[in-house]
Formats: sequence, C-alpha cells, structure tokens
Amino acid sequence: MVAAMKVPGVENQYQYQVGGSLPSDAPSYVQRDADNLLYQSLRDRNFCYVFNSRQMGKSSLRVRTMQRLQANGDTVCGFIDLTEMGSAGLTKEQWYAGIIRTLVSSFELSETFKWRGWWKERQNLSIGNRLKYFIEEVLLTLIDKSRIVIFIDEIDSILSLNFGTDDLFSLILFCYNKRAENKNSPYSRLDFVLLGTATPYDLIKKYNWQMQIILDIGIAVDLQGFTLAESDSLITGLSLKARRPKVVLKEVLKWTAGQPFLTQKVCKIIHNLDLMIPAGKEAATVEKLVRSQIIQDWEYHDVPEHLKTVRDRILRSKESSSQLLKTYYIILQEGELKADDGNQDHLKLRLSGLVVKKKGNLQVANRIYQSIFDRQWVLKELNKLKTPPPVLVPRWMTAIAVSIFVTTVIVGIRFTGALQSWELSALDKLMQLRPPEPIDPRILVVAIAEEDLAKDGGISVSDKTVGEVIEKLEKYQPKVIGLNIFRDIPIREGAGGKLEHEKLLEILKKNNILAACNISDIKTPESTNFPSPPGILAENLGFTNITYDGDQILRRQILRQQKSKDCPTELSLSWQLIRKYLATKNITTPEKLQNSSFQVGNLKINSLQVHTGGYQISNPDDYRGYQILLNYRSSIQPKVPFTQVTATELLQEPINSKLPQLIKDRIILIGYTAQSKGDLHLTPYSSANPYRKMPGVFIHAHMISQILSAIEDGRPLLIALSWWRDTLWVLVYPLTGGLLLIYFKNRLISAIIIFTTPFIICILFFCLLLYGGIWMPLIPSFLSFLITLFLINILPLISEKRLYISYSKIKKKKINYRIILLLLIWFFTVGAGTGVGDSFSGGGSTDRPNRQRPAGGR
Amino acid sequence: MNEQEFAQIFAGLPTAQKTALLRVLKGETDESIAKSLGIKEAGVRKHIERVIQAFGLRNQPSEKRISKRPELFALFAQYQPELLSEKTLEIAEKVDLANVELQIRATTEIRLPEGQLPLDSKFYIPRPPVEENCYQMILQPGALIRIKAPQQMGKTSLMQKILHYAETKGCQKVFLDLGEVENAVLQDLDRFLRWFCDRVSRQLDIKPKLEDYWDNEILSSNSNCSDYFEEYLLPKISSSLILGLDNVELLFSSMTICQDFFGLLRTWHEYGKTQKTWKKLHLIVTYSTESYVQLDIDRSPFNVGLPVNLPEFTREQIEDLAKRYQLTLSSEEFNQIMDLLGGHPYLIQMALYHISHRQISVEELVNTSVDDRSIYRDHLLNHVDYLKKNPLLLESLKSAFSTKEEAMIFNDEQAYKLEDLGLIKKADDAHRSSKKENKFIPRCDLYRQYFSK
Repeated sequence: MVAAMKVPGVENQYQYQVGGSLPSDAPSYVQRDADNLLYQSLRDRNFCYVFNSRQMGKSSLRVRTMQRLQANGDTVCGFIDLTEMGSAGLTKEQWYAGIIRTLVSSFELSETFKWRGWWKERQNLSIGNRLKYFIEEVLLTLIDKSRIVIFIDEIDSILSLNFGTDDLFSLILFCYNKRAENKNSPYSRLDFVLLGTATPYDLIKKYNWQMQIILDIGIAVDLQGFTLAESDSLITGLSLKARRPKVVLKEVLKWTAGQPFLTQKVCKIIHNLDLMIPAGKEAATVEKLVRSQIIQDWEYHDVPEHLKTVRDRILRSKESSSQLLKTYYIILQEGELKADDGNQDHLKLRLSGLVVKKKGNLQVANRIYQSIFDRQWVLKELNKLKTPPPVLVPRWMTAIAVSIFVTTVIVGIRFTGALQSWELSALDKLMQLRPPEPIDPRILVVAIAEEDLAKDGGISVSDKTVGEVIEKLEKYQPKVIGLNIFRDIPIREGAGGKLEHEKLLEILKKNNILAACNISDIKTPESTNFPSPPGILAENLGFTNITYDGDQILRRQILRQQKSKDCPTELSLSWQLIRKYLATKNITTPEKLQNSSFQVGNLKINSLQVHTGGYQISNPDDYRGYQILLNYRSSIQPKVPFTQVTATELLQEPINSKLPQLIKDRIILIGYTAQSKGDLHLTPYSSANPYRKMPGVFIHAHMISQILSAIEDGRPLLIALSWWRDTLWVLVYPLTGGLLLIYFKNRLISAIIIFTTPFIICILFFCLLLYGGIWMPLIPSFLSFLITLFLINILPLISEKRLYISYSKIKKKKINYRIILLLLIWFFTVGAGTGVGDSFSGGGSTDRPNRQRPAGGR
Repeated sequence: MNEQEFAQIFAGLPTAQKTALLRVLKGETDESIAKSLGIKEAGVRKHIERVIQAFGLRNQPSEKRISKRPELFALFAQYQPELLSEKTLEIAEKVDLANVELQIRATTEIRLPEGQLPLDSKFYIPRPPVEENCYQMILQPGALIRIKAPQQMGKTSLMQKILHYAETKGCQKVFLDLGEVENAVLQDLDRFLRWFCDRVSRQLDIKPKLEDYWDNEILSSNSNCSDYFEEYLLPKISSSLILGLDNVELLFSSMTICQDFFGLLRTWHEYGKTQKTWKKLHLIVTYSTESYVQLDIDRSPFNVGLPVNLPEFTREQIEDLAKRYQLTLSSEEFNQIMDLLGGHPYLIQMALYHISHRQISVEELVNTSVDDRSIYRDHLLNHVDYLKKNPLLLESLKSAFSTKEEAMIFNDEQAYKLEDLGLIKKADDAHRSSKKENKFIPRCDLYRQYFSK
C-alpha cells in the first residue's frame, strides 16, 4: 500500500495550488521541459521570452527559475511586475520611475542608493538616457554579482497603456547591442526575460521594428501542459486518497491534458475528498468529480477565476469574437484544424488557452474546455452576436457522400465500357497467379503435332491417319471422341483420297464420335468456312466457333449458337462432348439452352449477360448464343493440364503399355497442335508472353474440363456478380477507408490504411477468384478507393478556403502533398500490377468486325 | 457592571473604535471626528454603536432606534470621568444610572446578533474546515486569503477570528472596513490609497509619513503605495503584518480603482514569493460578490491566494447554536425554522435570540415572519430601502419571486447584486432542472414570502 509509506507530517503540508504562482519550494511544482530550456538559455546568456496563455504556469516558472539561478551564487535576479504601476492616470514618467523603484527594491539597493533624488536630479535627461545611466551607474556598479537577470512579467499590460514604452525595449536592445560589440563589456553581465500573455504579433504591431529584433534575438520558451512523466510531484498528494495514485493522475490528465491550473484544481478536489478512490474506480470517480465540481455550473465553480478568463479572451471584442468563435467551432466539429501561424484568429485562440497547437494542428486544449465551451455554447454566443455558425458537414458525412459520389461516377464510367479492357487485363493477371491444378483425368488429347504432319506430307493430316487413330482409340473403349479436325472434303486428291475420306466418314458415323464444323455467317470470311463432313447427323456434330474479346484474347466459351446451313448444329463441340460423356453417367443435359440459366446435375450454369463483371461493352455480336466465362484450368506455363499423346505415339506398335489406361473411359480430343497449322489462340496466359498461344484442341479441352470438374469435382466456374452487387463492393472500400481515415487522425495510421487497403483488396479478390471463381470488380474498387481518399484529403482545404475567403492575410493553405503523393504512387504501382499498361498498349481496339474464329483446322 | 468588567470591556475595544470613542467623550461632533480620521460620519456612528453594544447597551428590539450615547456617557462618568468633557458630563448627569445598569443586565447575557460577533462569543459557530484552513494559510509568508460570501454570512466574524489567531501567533494585525470609507474616497484611487496607507500606519501605531513618501510627480499612486509599504511600514514592524480588508466589493463599482488596487494586491502577493520584505505582508480580503465589471483582459485576474466560500449553517450547526442559547427545541420546530430561513446564519441567530428571550414561540415567529410584528421587520425594510434605489432590480426580484417556477434567471449584473445582498443563491442540485442554465432560487423562504407580496 502506497499510503502506508507516507510520512505523516508531509501529508498535511502537501498542498495543491490553484491559481497564482507556486512558491519556490512548493511540493506540487511540476518541472517541465520549459524549466530546463529557460534555465539553460539564461545560463548561456540568452535573451528569453515566455509568451503563453494564462495560467499555464508562467509565474511559477519564473519563481522557480529565479531561485535556481540565484542558487548558483554568481547570479542575482530582479523582478518587475508591470501591472504594479496601475493604469489610472498613469504617465510615462511615473511608469518608468515605477520600474526603477521596483528594480531598486527588487535588488535590495534602497539602503545604498536613494533613487528618488537620483531620478529628480536627472529630470532634464530623456527617459531613455536615465534608464541607460541607471543600468550603467547603478545596477552594474552597485551589484557585485557577476550576473544580473531581470524578469519582466505581465508584459501584455503595456498593450493597454496610452503611451508607448519604446524606451524600455530600446534599453533591452541597447544592452544586447553593447554586448555584441564587445564581449567583455559590462553589459554582458545583464540579461532580460519577458513574460506575458501576448502574441508576438500584438507587440510587434505596437513596437514594430524594435520588437521584431528583440524577438529575433531571443529564445522563445513555450509552456506545454504537464505530461504524465513530468507530473510525479503531483502524485504525493493523491496517494492519500487513492489506492493507485498514478492511475488517478493519468485519469486527471485525460481531462486536463496537463493544463497546470486545471490539473492542480482537480488534484486539489481529489485531495479534499473524504474517501479513498478504490482500484478500478479511478476513471469513473475522476469523471464524476470533474463533471460535478468543474463542468456543471462552471461559472459558479470557477473559483479562482480561470474558465471565465478563457471565455472573456474569446468574447472580449465584438469584431473579432465572431471570427474566433467560428474558427473554434470548426476545430470543435472537425476535431482539429491545420494551424496557420500567420492567422490572427489562430494565434488569439491559442493565446486564450482554449486551443493548443499539436503536430501542426489546432486542437481544443483539453476535455474540460471541450465540455464547457461546447457546440451549444458556441452557437449560443454566435447567436448573441447575430452571426450564423459556419456550415460544416461532419467529416464522416463528407466521407460517406464522397464515397457514394465517387462510386457512382466510377460505376457510370464502367458502364460505358471504358474500363473493360483494363478490368480484363486485371483478371488475366489474377488468373496467372493461381497455383497449378492437377491434370484433368477425364481428358486425353491426341495431338497432331509437326512430326505427324510431316509423315502425311506436311500440310494436313490424312483421312487415313485420322481413321487409323480413331479405330485404334476405339479399341480401348473411350467414352467419347471429339474430332477437332474439319473433314468436309477429302484431303488427298484423286480417287484414293476420296476413298480414304469415305472410309473416314463411315467411321465418324459411330455414335460416340463427334465431328466438328464451323458455323459461318455473312461476317465470316471464306477462309474460315468449314462445313460439316457430309452425311454426319446433327447430333454427332459440334461447332468449333470461339469468340474473342477486343484484345483478341479468348475468355469465353460458347455453348449454343444459331446454326448455319453448312454446319447444322446449335451446340458447340465441347458441349456436345460433355453431353455425351454425361449421358454415359446418366446425367441428363437439356436439349435446348433457351433460358438464361440451366441445371446440369447439381450445377447451375448462367449465361453471360451484357454488363456483368468487367464485360460492359454491348456489342450484340459478342454475346450471341449461350456463353459462359472460361475458367482455364491452371497449370505451370507452358505446360497444359491435360494428358496428351501424338498420333504417331498412338499408332506405334507395340502400343505403349500405359496408353490403354489413358484412353479407357475418357473423352478423347483429336486436334492439331502443330504450329504450322496456325490453329493458335491468345489466352489470359498469353498476356505474360504474347507469343505463347494455345492450340485450339486445348481450348476445347479447357472448356470441357471446366464444366465437368464443376459438376464432378465441385471446382467453381468463373462467374461475375450482378451489377448492383458489384457496385456495393465498389462502395465498400472507399467508405471504410474514408471513415477509418477520419477516425484515426494519426498520419501513420492513415499511411498504413492507404498502403494496405489495395493489398487487402487484391488478396481478398484473389481468394474469392481462387475459391469461389468470382470475378470481383478489382479496378473499380481501386479507383473509387484512391479517388475518394484523394478527395477527402483535399475537400476540407477547399471548404476552409471558402470559409476564410473574406478574411484577409491568409497564407496559401498547404495541401497535404504527402498523402496525395502516396495516392499517386499507389495508383501507378497497383496499376502496373493489374495490367493497366498492357491494356493501354495492347488491347486497345475494341471493335473488330469479326471476333469469332474456328478453333480447329482442316 | 463593576469597575473590573468596565475596564475589561474598555481595554478590549478595537483601536479604531477606541479612537472614535475618546473623541466623542470629549464632545467632538461626529462630523469633525470623521474628517480628522478620514472616514464617513456613518463610520463614526457605527464605531460608537459598536462601543455601545460592547458595553451591553444595545437597543431592545421593541424600542425605537434611540441613541444610547447618554447612557454611555453615564457609564464613563461612573468609572472613568476624566475622559469626559464638561459638555458630555452634563449629559451624563441627566441619565439614571440604575436604569442603565438594568438595561445592561438584560442584554449582557445574550446579545442581539448584529455585525461581527465578539471574538470570544459563545455564539460563534465554527464551520469546519474553513477556520482551520484559514489559520494554517494565514501564517504562510505572503499569504492571501479571499473570503467570499453574501452579506450577513459571518465574513467579518471569520476575518476577526483569523486576525485574532494570527495575533496570538505574534503577528500584528490591521483591520480595515471599506464600509467606513466615504464614497468620494472610494472613487479616487490616489485618495483611497492615501487613506489606506494612513489607516494602516495609525492602526500599527506608526506615525503616518505620507508626505515623505508620496510623490505623485515621480510615481503613480500604486507605486507610491508600494513604496510606502516597502520602505516605511514593513521595515518598521518586526513581525508579520496581517492586513484584513472588509467589504472590498465596494471597490467593484469603479473599474479603474478595482483593477489597479487588486492588481497591486496581486503584485504584492507575487513579490511575497521572492522578496523578503513582502513575505511579511499577509492579506485577508472579504467580499460579498464577484466583480461584475469587466476587467482588462491584458492583466492577470485577481485569482490568487486561498479562496474561501462561507457555507450556510447545517442542521447540526443550528442545533448546536440552539444549545448555546440554552434552547431545547423539538425536531419539528427545527424543521419549521429551517423551512423558513434555510441555513442563513444571521436570520438563524436572530430567530434563536428572540426565542431564547421567550418573547416569541417558534410557531409565532414563523407565522408572523412577514407581517408588521415580524422580528425581521427592520432587516427586511433595510433591504427594501436599498432596493428602492434601484427600482429595476426590485421589480425583477419581485416578479421572479412571484413566479411559480422553481428557479429564476437574472441577468449577470442583477444576479451579482442580489447575490451580494444575500437575497438569492445559485440553485443547487436539488433545485436544478436538467438544463445547465445559471439559475437562482430565493435565499430562503422568508424572502420569497416577503418579496412576492
């Protein structure tokens, strides 16, 4: 127990002092940084001044410093209180004589020096000269101590005198000039300290150049509130009344922010308590005391006067008070305001003590002021002055409004399609980032590679080879075979060729074999016109048409499309293969795909609509038929996640022992992989390496794989959210970011928020893509987040400017360049990461006449 | 009264009263006494009234206000005739001494409370911890105590207690009542400060040497005053000087004087922190209200030292006081008294005094409190007289007291004046509505009844 350790005698003597200066031996004196600064500066023979708001401990600091200096033995201190002379009918002569009188008595010279006679004898001299002689002939002569320091308190009282006191300041300047001329001059023994509640501005206004110089050569000592670390001396008095005095003191400082008068007052209230504050009840007790004994009926409790003087400083002049109140109102509402040392209102508010400057911002000095001089109070006083309060939107409301506005704009821009290519590239980047998936065990690709072509003459694979391949495959019981090679006409010329072709056609008529054709329309050029092989039923046909985006990258899969005469099937090769494969597993698929969604097994497939996800450009051709997004099976590039054998390997005798297993019950796709066939397509993976294109047969394999693994393995299909869900996501980030930024005014936290949010968005969206197959609105989210934060940082400055527009002498507001720079850096780093550059350089053109091509070759 | 008692009372008179008394006994007119002492005629009369009171010659409430000076002269003719002049002796002879003795016997047992209580009065009710705090504080070097309470709360009694206490500790005391000062002096800083220095010197039995130190050619009045204290008065005394200033609110009406004088006191107090000479000066001031004049914002306010608020009597204190009057009242009777008077020290003292004289029962006192038979009739009429000089104030007070509202609102200046008179007080928690307005309630039900009529 702390209380038990106290010496009884000390407890009774311990006193808190509320108002006035503390005696030099007061136990409740709190030593602050300013103590050492003033003492050290004076030891180093500097001119000092302490201009501060009332009751911040100036006089106590003076008493303490005088004592410390004199304790050195080589220094003697004098003290002038400029209010002593009074003001009624005061003349300049009397004022200066009063100073001389005070100095004489303060330095205890009245025994040896009869100043009245001395003063009268020199009445024909100017006051300035008399002062000089007094310093030279009297002070520097009669005082034998090597150092003399004169403290001049209540300097602000000169502001209301009706004569100038230039001579006093001239004297100070003169002394310091003398000393600058000659270091050994007797004047270097003399130092001055000015103390008061005045702004340098006010003093300079009255005593322009002199004061300017004086303040320039001087050291400004700024008195701050007590910190917890400094306030150890206050604990003594609390230890009697609390189990945990340090905690109580901490709570007290929460209310007073170390304002000396209020801190001493609250401590005194606690000291006078009849009870002991138990552990755990500190905060509640202190709050109760502060509320009931200071805040409630504050005018009544304000003894000795403190809060009233604060109030009076704000309200004393009708002209400036409305402006002060307005500025204070902003600080009260916004929590802080960028401090401007050239702004008179800011200085006056600070001088009243109501507001302090902290880290470049003005804040209400403490919670007690904040509770007393609250919004209602300001409004009431403004009302008395018939001044409307400044219109202020609370910052959180600004944040919400800006977020909604920016989101609306961004979504609007997105709707026009301006972001599409950008968003698509971002999707590609994310797709590339996914970890590789295992090889799909349902599919075997029989690749017609360059070596196979070479055997058949190099241009196309022969009907004979194709037939042999199919027959060989059939031996090992595949589920279905898809021939992604167009066989509408014989490959080899002449009768032999025709025979081979007819033989192949016979083979193709088998039920588990699907042949390919390409649906053509007016827009389709001749060169890509591949009709179906003659005599093949529609149900054994599948079209190979694929559709590109503006950047020629394949991201979608067509399931159904209007058939044409030469390719009489509505269903794509991949979908036909899936249907046949599923049929063997007794899973039915709908005959026709008419609605916007359908069910296969337990999988629901939605067709891609205009304005879903990043697809915003409404070109009806692009979305014809029944399309879904293509969720490529991820693999380490350039490998493909499918088993493949070349025709040569397949036809080899004896057959590789592993082959039968690879064929049995699988979907077999036969198609060209040979580069020379040109059946190559750009995929999202190509954006990393534009030359790496994917053969059509693999495209079909991906298409089959994504649907089957969605049905059988639960692997997600790639989907996009409906537009309004997307919009909500776009709104979430600026909103939370903005509100957090306002909540944590701290710069560091702001920076952390700005830096981490894009990361968080990226990671979150990537996870959603990976595990849910959801294509999130990454780019719109980034944009709205960054633009909102940018605006929130700029807007207050704009509104402040408007507020002060009528008020002169406003320095240019400094925009928070740092935050803006941060935002710009992010804009570009994030942009680069999501493929902004790519989309600008590569996929620019969005309106090519034909976006459909066959994926296959003859 | 025997000779010993007479000598005791005579010796115990404060210097100021004694000075005035001696001159009155010599037959000087009040006017000339006032002039030479630099105080108002009313001040002289007050002194003499207090002397009369000290000798137990106070008017009975039933009597009209008759000067008891002849009786006083008669007393002196009996015990110290050498102090009288022929003229006053003549007056004294006309008085029947036996009758005087009778009067004295009737009043010396229990005094009618008015003004400060004598130092040793058994009717002084301490209000802890106020006294202890003040005793402790006053001995500190350069101490400053500010006692703030409405009129008739016992400020002066407390100050006298403190002064007396300090005196027993070896300090020298000076007591100045600004109520004695002529208004014209209060309006002129230089005259006031000269009066101030003169009175302090005289009370300390130091020959005033204003002409040697006061030089308005060179120094301002304030500086002259500081100089006088610092160079002449303070060095002359060996111990500490306790300076009690009563009723300083009388200075509040003039802003310049108020500001300069309190600025001076503040400065002295500040000097006391560092300068040996000034450590000797200890100050006590009493005032009945805060200053309602706006002081210069460029000067530190007079908010230094130990502020003391005098609380009203508590129930326990009233019961204690009743015991001292040797009264045994029922709990119901205490309730009745407190319902009517609250804890107003003066009104309570009056009530208990009258009850103890058996002139009146509690019930009667309560029932007649606001009519012509009231024991408070003079007190209330005094208030009315004062308020009549300020009709607006009286009007707003009447209308405020008549409302059914629990709490009243006045503007600042009115509130200060009425609070000064002790007619209203700040609403405390029990009466305060949820709003934070500055609300007031009548000081006690007596006033509400009287002024709402």
